Amino acid sequence: MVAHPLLSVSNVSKSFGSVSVLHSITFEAHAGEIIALVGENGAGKSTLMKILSGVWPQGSFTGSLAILGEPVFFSSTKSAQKKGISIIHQELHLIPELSIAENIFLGKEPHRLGIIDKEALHQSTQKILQELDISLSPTIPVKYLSVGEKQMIEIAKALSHKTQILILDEPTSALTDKEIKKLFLVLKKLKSEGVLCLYISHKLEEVFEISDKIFVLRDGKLVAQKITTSATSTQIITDMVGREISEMYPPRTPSFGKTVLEVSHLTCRTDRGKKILNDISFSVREGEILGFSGLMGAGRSELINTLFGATDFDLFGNIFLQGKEFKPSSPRHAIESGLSLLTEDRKFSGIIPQRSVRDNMTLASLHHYSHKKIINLPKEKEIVKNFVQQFKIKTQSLRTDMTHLSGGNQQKVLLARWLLTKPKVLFLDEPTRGVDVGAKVEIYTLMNELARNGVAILLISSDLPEVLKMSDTIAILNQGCLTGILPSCEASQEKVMHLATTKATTRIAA
Amino acid sequence: MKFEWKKYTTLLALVGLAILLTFLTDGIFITPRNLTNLARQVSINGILAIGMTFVILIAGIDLSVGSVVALTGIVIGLSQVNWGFSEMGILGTLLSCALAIVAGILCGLFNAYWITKQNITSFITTLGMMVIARGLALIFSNGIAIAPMSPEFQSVGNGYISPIVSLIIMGGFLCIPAFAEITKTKTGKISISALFNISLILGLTYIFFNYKGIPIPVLLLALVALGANFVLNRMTIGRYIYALGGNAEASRLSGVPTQKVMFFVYVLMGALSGLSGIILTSRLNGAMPTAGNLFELDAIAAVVIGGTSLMGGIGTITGSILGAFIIGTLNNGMSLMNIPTFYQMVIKGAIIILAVFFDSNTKKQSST
Repeated sequence: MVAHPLLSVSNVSKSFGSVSVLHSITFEAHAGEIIALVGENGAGKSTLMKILSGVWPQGSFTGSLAILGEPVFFSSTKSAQKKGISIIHQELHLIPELSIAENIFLGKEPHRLGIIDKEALHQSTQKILQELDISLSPTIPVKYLSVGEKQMIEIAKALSHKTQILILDEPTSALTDKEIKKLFLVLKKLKSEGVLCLYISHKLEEVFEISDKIFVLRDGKLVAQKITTSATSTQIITDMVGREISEMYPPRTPSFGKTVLEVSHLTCRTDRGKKILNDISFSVREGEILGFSGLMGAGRSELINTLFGATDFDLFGNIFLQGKEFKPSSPRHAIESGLSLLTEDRKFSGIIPQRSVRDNMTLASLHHYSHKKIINLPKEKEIVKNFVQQFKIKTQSLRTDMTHLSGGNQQKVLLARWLLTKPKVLFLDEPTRGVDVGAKVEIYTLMNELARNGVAILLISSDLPEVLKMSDTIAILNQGCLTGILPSCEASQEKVMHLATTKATTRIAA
Repeated sequence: MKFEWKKYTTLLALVGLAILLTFLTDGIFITPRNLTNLARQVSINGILAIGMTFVILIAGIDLSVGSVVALTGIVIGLSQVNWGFSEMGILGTLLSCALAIVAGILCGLFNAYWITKQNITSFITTLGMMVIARGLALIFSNGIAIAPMSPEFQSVGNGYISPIVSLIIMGGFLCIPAFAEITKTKTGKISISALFNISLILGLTYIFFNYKGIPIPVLLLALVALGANFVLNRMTIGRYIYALGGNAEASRLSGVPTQKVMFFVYVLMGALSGLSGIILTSRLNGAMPTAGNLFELDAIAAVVIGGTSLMGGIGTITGSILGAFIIGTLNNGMSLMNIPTFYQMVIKGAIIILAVFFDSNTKKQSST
């Protein structure tokens, strides 16, 4: 008798507008397996998991899903849960003020005549906690738990749904080594009980430790399905990055001037003492593009935000701007000193959505065209008009609200905002994320032009080919440490990926 | 170009309301005398609504306005009656007014300090200030009204600019939109908003000239409105105010001095509360510790009816003044029709809700 696989996915494709993120994904997975899903940022891992867990309902994608050979159609996460699929997101979704028991049974509390049966609630919670070897009282409010314990409660919550398929999206990103060990024990236990785990992770070491199979996603395609024991990390990395680099990147002819920004032995801690950045040293010259590579949470954004004065970490070490000691105190001070930061999250920290293109573009540089705090409107209009033409920003008028512009055009307006401050050092945090290819090329051309004019650029990007092609020098961060600085001619995707995934303590000299 | 009638819904509502009331009151509503009185009645709420527009634009709220108006009134009363400023003629009046504004500014500074430096939400801070200022007003006045004021001071709220001078002033006002139009458009066409402004000024000129001239509080309102409009549209801090309300994090990262902007806004609100306190005390010819009750709610209602978003970042001075005039017209019209006060309250409340309901509905349609 041929047993049906627990989960079969066939020909699943999904696109957002004109951008396709998944191309006919097909695979089968069996009960009691732990499958690791790896791939670069934006490869489509999260989208795939969202389809499996019903976040993207039937109809928003093409292809089909089946559990034990029976086709399933999910209209919501709830209907996926009914079929035994639970997802644990990267960000935890627990309610801090409620107790462990109340969180686990939220929305399905045992009750009699509408009154919660506390005894039954605590007993069933106790049972689940025991199964997972968690020695916590069900009545403790969740806010008193550590991140690792909270993660366990999320898993307990998932198990309370009679889960057969458990999806974990980067579960270890916030955990300590000890907590990771504990998590792995639990996962192994679940595996022995026949639960299928789909495990998304950026950390290859973990993947090799815990998984039975490794699936590699790249550009929305499932490019490799390997048995863990017969795979090597070099192989997996090659699969992850091995794409053709198209002609998207305009050629560069770099020429460097004096050192503009120098960072020496910079260490940052949060007010609770957690090290965010550890002993970082680098420098960047006029006309140089310094690329920062690393995985999510490696500390890249934290680094440039700190240099820009936008964080309140405790700083140790020295920063020199044009040879003078520079102490970041506020974004305003940084801008006045010649720094500019194009932030990572355009919506949250970039655009003023309900204000016009003009207002958005000139926000950081108003003092350049105002006299005694009164704005010279004709002059301002002239400047904005020039930028709109030069950057080919598609907008109805200068008075159009930012919300009416596409992502790429919004990004160009923000880039203009920063260029208007005449920066000496420009920090670009994921400048091409969510931007269409045409706008990407325009942004690259602009970066080259800026560098030619002597601006030093620090480029953060999770798009490896982008970093490799656009940068003169590449710095790799891993868990708050600088694991390597390579001239771009010596850097390869494999080398960079290796430095970005290997723990700092075991790093190989580049 | 398409006529964007949605931009003018508040104005159309006001015009519609005026026409309706003219019929319901057999024309009493439209007489120059009544309209002059209406404008005078609106001036206090109008000035407060202008301050409140700034506050709501940065996604804040100020509930202390009414109490601060009362407190500044008491400061005037004390200075006029107890300290003898009423014997000092014009100088005494100026000193009393200056003291009231300073008192308002101090209240604003208090609010601004707790909101910006200590991160207490504006709702809570100004709720506290509302009670504190009312308490102080009662303490300083021993709970009783202080009167009378000097004749010079009384004329601040009750006086008129003589019709001839009024005519000159209105002519000056007329130059503003006309001049703006000449410098802006090269095509020779007149924009709709300029046409509105010009006809509004001509209409007001007719009204004031046919009664006793411009009431001084209305002139003050007009000056404050022009100033506020200038600050919001022409000055850097105006841009910062809109930006801060639209996206605080993006503004901070773009170098907007967020704390300074917030201080400016709350202090301005305090100063304008002081100005309103001056007008109110002068009109009543007495300072009452219980004056100004619920003024903050009328101001907030005017701002919201005028299309300003409570989420911050969207709104105009013109809208808020129109909102203040809608509320004032309702009060005035219902009084003319002898509707009992208790019923007036119910109707007013219902209209505030309906106004915002229609406004948000038209916005939803325009965004799809």
